[in-house]
Amino acid sequence: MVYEISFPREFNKYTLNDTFSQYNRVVNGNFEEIVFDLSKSRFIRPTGIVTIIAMIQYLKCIKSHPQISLIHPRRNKLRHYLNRINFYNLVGIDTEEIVRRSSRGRFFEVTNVKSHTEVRGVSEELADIFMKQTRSSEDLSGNINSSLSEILDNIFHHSYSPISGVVCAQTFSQKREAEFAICDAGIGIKESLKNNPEYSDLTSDMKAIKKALEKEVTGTIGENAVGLNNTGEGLYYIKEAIISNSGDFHIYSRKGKMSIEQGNIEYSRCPLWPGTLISITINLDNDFPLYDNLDSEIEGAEGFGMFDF
Amino acid sequence: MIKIAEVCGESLNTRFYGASLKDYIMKRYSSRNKIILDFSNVKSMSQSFADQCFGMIVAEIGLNSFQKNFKIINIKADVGKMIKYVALKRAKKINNKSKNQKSHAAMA
Repeated sequence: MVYEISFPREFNKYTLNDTFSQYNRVVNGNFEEIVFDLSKSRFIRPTGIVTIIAMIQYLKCIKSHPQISLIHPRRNKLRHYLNRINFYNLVGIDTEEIVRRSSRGRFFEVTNVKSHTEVRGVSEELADIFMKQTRSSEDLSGNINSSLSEILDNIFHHSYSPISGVVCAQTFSQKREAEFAICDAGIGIKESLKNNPEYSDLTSDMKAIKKALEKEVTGTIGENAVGLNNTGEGLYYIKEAIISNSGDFHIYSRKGKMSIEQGNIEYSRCPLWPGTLISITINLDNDFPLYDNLDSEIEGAEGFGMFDF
Repeated sequence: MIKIAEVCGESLNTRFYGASLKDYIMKRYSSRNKIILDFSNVKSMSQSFADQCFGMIVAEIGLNSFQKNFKIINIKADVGKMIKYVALKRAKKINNKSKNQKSHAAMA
């Protein structure tokens, strides 16, 4: 039996739900062949790209010898774009003979981050290309770098994702925005937080996402233990920076979803995604003040006056 | 003197590299000498990195020793702010923990 997942005309953060539903049928079913049909797609945003790659990679992890094929987009421009950003290589599906030139330093390639030691290099390269493409300040690029590394680092400390992480980015100069998408196929935020007894009673993925966006919330146990324990503030500061930037922030984790658009936060249920997917769109004309609130937090604290720098 | 950018690069990210820099610094640490940490060319530092490095140094030797035995130079304002933040947070946690332990002991 063949199952065909068909992708919409524009596959982006707003059109994921239907695809997630189709994907769940494939994950739970017993199909001889699974076809990813991109023929109708005109454009796929970074969020869509990491989703497709994670879907295919995850299927290869959980199914024995799955036969997976791809119907290429009819639109030439999209086929070239997917080839150029290394999409076909990551899904492991042969494509037509388009010569791929190295993109190093010129544009973003979609990347599989396989270990925590790769996080720094990947986030640095993305931030560097971002700075060149948008002629943004060193501060903005540094904050993008720190944000991406925090999210990617979380994959290796919390998610137990069998595919590690997939990251993709693109700038849209006419719209004056940039989109960053990071995806894993791990245990999700709820299960990760439940490692900490304080959050063992979390009942839904939605509540878990909400909790994870608060300050000092982590699944790591032992706040003063020596080792790689966390303070649980990474997502909190990223959320605050996105709101200040008037950007968009979407998190899908298992059956929960969070959206921030124009400062409004909404939580909802969604069809199961086997892991966590984060999509960030930032406004290139606004600041992205990642750690601006620190001043108010530390001034007046005991010992503050003793620093000589 | 430890030139941070030469040891760890210009962008300081991830828990792992934060913990590695902490180990590198603590191997050179002695309560009798002052270590100069030179942040020339360091552009950015994530909160996780800062906490795993400087927060954990404070957790190990205490805030007073950190302030007394380390001199930080050529640091960008926001990077310096981050170090102060994680250092003070870890110090506060240690204080709270020891207060709790004392009150438990008193109750016992």
